[in-house]
Amino acid sequence: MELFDNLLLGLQVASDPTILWYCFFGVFLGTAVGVLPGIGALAAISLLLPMTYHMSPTAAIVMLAGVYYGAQYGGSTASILMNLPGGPASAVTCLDGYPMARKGKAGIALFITTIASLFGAMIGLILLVLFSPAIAEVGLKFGPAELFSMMVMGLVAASSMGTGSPIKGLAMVVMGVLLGMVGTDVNSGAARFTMDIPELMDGINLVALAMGLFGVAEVVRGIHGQDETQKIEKVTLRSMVPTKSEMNRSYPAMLRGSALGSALGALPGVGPSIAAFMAYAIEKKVAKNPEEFGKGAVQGISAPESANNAAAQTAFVPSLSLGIPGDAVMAIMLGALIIHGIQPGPMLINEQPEMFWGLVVSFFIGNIMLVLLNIPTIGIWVSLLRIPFTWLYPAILVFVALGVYSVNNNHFDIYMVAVLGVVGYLFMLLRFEAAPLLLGYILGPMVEENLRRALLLSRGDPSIFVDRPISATLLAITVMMLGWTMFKFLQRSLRRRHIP
Amino acid sequence: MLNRDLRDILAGIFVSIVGLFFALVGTNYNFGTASRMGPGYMPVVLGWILFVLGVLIMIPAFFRKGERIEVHWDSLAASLVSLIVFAFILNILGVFLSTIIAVLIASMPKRMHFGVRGAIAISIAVITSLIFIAGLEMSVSLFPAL
Repeated sequence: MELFDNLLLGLQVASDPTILWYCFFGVFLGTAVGVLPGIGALAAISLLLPMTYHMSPTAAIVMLAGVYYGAQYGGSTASILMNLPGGPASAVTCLDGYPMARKGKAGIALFITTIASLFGAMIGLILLVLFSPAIAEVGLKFGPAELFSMMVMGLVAASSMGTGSPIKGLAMVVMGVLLGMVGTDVNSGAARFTMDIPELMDGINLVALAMGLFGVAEVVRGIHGQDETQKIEKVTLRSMVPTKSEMNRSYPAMLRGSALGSALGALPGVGPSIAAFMAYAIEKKVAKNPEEFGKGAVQGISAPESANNAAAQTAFVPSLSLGIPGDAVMAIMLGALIIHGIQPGPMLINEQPEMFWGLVVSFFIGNIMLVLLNIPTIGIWVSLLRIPFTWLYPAILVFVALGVYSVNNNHFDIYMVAVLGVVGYLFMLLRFEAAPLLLGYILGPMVEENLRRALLLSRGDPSIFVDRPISATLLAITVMMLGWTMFKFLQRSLRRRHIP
Repeated sequence: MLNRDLRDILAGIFVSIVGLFFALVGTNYNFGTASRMGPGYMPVVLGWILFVLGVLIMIPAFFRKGERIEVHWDSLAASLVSLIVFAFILNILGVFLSTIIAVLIASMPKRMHFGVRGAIAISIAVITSLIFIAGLEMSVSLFPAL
């Protein structure tokens, strides 16, 4: 059987000691940044990006992916113990997780979220294994017109499906595409927008952009954030055993959460955060005890935790099978592959089977590691929450500076990070989300390339995009999303009051 | 509360200026035709789109109330100066001393005891040296070359 052979190949790759080590390192670090409020997976992955220059591409992506899904596990810890989400995807876990902790059930809540996370991740992973090769097969038939339409759809989805104002998201995407054009144009060799700075000939450094927008800006915002050290109760292993009825109520919630999360995660622009929120809303609707929600209902933590972990796995489907990243984390991971000269796209699975299947098997291994990391050693993570941000942020700044310097051994990159950090903070103040910008930056050059190719083939006739059925369908969806954006924009503008 | 939504007015102006920059500077490059696009085609088109988006963000903001924008200038300045000074002295003083100085600058917005500040700086310098020099074998000197 082909699938079996592929998984066996993946197991060979993933069981290599180096890959195993990077997988462990990734999920370990992911748990840590997930636990710590104020540092997200995006910032951590940006910080690790310079390291990947010296690694094999498989090891690099195994490690970065580990941080991403590891953070989904760790995120619930701070939500439950401190009522502070460790990351955006676990914000909804506060609603019922913290009341559970107040009732002295913190251990049980932590246990259930870990099991729910594993459950969701495994379901997402199985779907990833089953669907990615098939979707890539379809993607192989795509010409430049289809690729262009698909990327534009991905970009518009990412901008309008977010939590903020859709028109601001759209502006961020366009700005990202424009920033992606800085540097030497591949077709004509013209140096665009370099302002005669030689360092900009190769374009704006992805590492500097990601670190500035997500690392430095987060630090600046976090310095005066909440810093009071709360009293955190001790969690013992014995206190983690849930009752039978608590588990029985959790299973169906986990199943619903995983199904919803898997479906939403694969869509561009919809990440683990939205999946978790929707799973919670649905659970509250179908529950026999809706009045318990918000006061410590177990379904209120098991459903969203399954959903965000399932979404974190299926988010890899469009990225790996079509080369279309659904969110900024995926965009950075594809950026890491591009740095290694691997072009993401439908041919990735066929051209790099070791990498794809190795990565998939590493997900299985990583998730098992995460359960082992999260249950017996929970005490270590809880004590991590006692470190004040004051101790952490100067270290993050130094790591950012040294990390970005190490890529080219050039001071210019540190100055660049400083400038982009100011830009990132400006975005935060003006309520722009930086994630769509990064997506536009990564996809921009590919969008331009495919647009040029498609119009070259059609001798400048734009009807090529609507004559081809797949391309036309994708563009129709894009137009509908744009229409929705405009509708929401008009609705919002007509209201006199500011809606925060 | 403000009478105008200052946040979105500034946001719109910012977006429009960036759009205008790309659209105008983009005219320096060959525009080409749709079938043979020059390097200037996409920047000019997208630059104008961005300009329009900025205007769309800005206009309605004049007609609704907004909230004050709270800027932490001290955090911004400390982080920025810390990064720039670090870049400047890295090759002169080596990783260890540069880290200590950068951490001392970065921690300025926070009030704390002098000893604690020093302890944080030294511990971060030790950890940084261990990770980047011993662990990742980065090719920068640890201490100043005498």
